[in-house]
Amino acid sequence: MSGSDLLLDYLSRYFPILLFIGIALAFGVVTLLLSYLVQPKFPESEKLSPYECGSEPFSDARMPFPVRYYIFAMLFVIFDIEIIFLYPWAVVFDKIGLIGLVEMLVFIGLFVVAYVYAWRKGALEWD
Amino acid sequence: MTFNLTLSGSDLLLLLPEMVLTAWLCVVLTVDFVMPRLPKDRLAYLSVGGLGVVLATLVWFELEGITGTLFAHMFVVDRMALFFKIFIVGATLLVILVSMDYVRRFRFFRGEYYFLVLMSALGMMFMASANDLLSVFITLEFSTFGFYVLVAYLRDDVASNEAGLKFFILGVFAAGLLAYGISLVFGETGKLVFSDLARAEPTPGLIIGYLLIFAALGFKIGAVPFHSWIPDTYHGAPTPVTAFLSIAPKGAAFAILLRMLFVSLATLKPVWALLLVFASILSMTYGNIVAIAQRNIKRLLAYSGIAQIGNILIGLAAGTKMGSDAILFYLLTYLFSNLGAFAIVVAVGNLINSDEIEDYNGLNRRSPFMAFAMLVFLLSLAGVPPLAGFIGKLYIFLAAINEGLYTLIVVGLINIVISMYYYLVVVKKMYINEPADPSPLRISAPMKAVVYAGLAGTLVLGIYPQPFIDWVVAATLMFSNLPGPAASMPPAILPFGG
Amino acid sequence: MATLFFFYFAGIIVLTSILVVALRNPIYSALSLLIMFFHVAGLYVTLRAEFLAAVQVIVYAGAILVLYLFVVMLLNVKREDRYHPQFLLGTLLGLTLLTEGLLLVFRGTVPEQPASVPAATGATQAGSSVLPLVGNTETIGEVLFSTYLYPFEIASLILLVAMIGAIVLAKKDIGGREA
Repeated sequence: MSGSDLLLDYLSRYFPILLFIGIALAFGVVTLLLSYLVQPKFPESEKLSPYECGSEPFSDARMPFPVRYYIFAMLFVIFDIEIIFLYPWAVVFDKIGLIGLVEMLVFIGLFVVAYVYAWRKGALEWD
Repeated sequence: MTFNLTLSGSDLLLLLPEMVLTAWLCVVLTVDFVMPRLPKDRLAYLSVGGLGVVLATLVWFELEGITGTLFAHMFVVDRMALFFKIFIVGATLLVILVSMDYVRRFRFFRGEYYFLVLMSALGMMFMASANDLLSVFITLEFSTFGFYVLVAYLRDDVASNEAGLKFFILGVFAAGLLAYGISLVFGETGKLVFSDLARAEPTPGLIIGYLLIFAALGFKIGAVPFHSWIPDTYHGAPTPVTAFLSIAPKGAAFAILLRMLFVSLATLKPVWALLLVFASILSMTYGNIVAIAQRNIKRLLAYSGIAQIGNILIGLAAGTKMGSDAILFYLLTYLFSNLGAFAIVVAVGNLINSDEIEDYNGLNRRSPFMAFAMLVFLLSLAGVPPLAGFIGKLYIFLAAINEGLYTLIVVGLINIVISMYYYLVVVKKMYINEPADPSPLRISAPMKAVVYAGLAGTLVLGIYPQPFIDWVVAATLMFSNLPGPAASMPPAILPFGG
Repeated sequence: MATLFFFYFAGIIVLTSILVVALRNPIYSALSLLIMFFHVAGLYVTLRAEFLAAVQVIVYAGAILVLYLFVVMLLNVKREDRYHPQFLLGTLLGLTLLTEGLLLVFRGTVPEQPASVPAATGATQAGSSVLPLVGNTETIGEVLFSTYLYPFEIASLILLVAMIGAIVLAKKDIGGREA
C-alpha cells in the first residue's frame, strides 16, 4: 500500500469526527441562515440600538474587569499542562516501573510547592 | 519501543549542585509563606547560605575532576561547564547581597524576589551544561522567565513596567526565532546533540536555521543588531536586577555559543568568523559612541555593556582555543568590575534615590570609599593597567593577533580610547565637581562586603592573574583540537603574573 | 490525497494567521486564532500524532485562548481605527526576506530523502499494518520518561516559576500579611 493510501485508512477512523464537525457547523449556519431568510427586513436605527430599559445608552457595556478572573485563568493553564503530562504517564504506567513513579512524583512535588504557595498567599481567594 | 533508562548513583551525582539548589529554593519559598512575619533579611541570608553550599559542591567537583554526561549527552558536566556554573553562582551570591537593602523598596512579595533570583540562577546553571539543541531551548527559556518577572517587579513604577513589557515581547520573539532555527536544523540533519551536528553538510536550510539560532543567542548577549532591548530594560528594571541581568545571562549564553560554534560548526569557521567580526565591530562602535551621550548611569552602563560584549566577540571571532580562553577570562574580569560598579549604583540609588550622573557630583566628598571603589571599577572596565580589565583585553587582543584579525584590533583599540572618555567623565564628576548636598553617605555591611569582593577580584585578577589563567586554560581543554594556529599561547608572554 | 489535506490545513492556517494580525476587532482576531489552532490540530492528525492534536485543542484552544480573551476584556481593547504607520514598510521587508529565504531553500541542494528521523515514533511501518503498532500517546509516554526525562523535569521547574511569577505580577494588595 502506498503512503497516501495508508494515510487515508488511518484518517478514515476520524471520519465520525469530521461528520460531527460538519453537523455542528451545519446546525449553526442553517438556523442563522433560515432565520435570516424568513425574517421581515425593515431595519431602523431605533430598532437596532441596544435596549436599556427605556433610557438612552450613554456608554458601552464594558465594566472594569476584575483581575481575579485572569489569575484563575492563568492558574488553570499551568495546572492544565500538568494534567497533559499525566496522560502519557498513565498510559505507560505499567511499563515504566518504580522509576517512572519517582519521576512523576518529583514533577508533581514541584507543583505541590507552587499550589501551597498560591493557597497560602491568597491567590485562590475569590475576593 | 521499550522503556530503557539507566540512572545510577554516580550519574545522579553530576546533578548534585542543581538538585541542591532546587531543594533549597523550594525551602526558601516555603519559609516565605509559612512564616510571613519573618524579616526578609533572613531569607536573603538563607539564599546566600544555599548558594554557598552549591558553590562548595561545584568547587569540590572541580578539584576532584568529576565530569561526565547524562541523558544521552543532553546534560554535560565538563571543566567548562563547571567554570560557568561557578561564575553564575558567584554572580548570584553577590547580587543577593547587593539587593538586600533594595528589597525594602518593594511593598509586597519581598520573599519571592529571592526565590526568582535563585530560579534564574538554576536555569543558567542548566544552560551552562546544555549539550544539545533541545536542552539549549528549554534551559534558555527557563532562565529568562525568572528575569521577565524580576524586571517588572516594581509594579507601581511605569519605567519598570515598560522595561518588563519590552523585554518580554522581544524575549519571546527571540524564543520564537530560536525554536524555528532549532526545528530547521533538526529537519535538515535529524540530530540535536552538538557533537552529532558536527558532521552535517551545510545545506541552505541548515544555514538559515543556524542564523536564526544566532539571532536568538545574540539577543541574549546583547550584541548589535539584537541589542534594542538593553537600554530600556536596564534603565527601568530594579537596579540589582539590572546588575544580575548584565552579567549572568551573558556568561551562560556564551557557554552555549562556545559549545555550538566550536563543536558543531567547527568546519564552517570562515563563514561564522566573518559574521562575528561584523557583529563585534558594530557592537563596540555603537555601544561606545551612544554611551557618550547618556545622562543616566544605568543607561551608560547598559551601553558600555554592549561595547564590552563587542570586545568579547573579538575572542569568539578568533575561533581558536586561545580565543575561548580569552573569552572566559574576560567574563571573569567583567563579573567583578561590572558587579562592583552596579553595587555602587545600587548603594547610591538607595541613599539619594536617583540614578542620574549629575547626582554623582562630588561623591568623593560624601563617601570617599564609594568614589574610590567606583573609580577602580570604571578604570577596570576601560582597560587600564594594572587592573583586571587590562589583562582581559590584552588576552583577547593576543588571541585576535594570532588569527590575523588586524582590522578588528584596530577598531578595538580605537574603541578603548572612546570608552575611556565616558568612564572618565563619571570619575571627574565624582572627584572634581561639588555635590549638591554634602552630607556623608553610609552603606550597609552586605553592600560593603560586595564592594570589597569586587575590589579584591579586580585587583587580584589584574596583578596576579596566573592561577586564573591556568584555570581557564584547563577549562577549555575540550577545544584543543580546533583548526587554527597554536592550541594555546603559553601565558609567559604576559608581563604580569609571570 | 494526503497533499490535499496538507494544503487545506496549511492554507487555512496561513490565512487565519494573517487575519489575526489584520483584523481590527480584537475579538475577531481571537476567533481567527481559534480556527487556526483547530487546523494545526488537524495537521497533527495527518501526521498520526493524535495525542499532540488533543493537547493542542485542550491547552491552546481551551486554556490559552481563554487567557487571550480575558486579557482583551481586561484591557477593554476597542476596535483599532487605523493600521500602524509603518505597516507598508514592514510588509515589504517581510516579503523580501521571505522571497530570499525561499530562493535559498529551493535553489540549494535538497536532500533526496528526508533526514533520519529518530526511531522514537515507532509508528511508520510502511506496508505492515493500517494502524500503527503503538499509538502516539504510548510512544510519547515511553520516550518522555526515559530519553527525554531531563527536559520533562525542567518543564516542571518552568511551570513552577511561571506560577509564582504570575501571582507576583497579577495579584493585588494582599493586605497586612507581609512582615
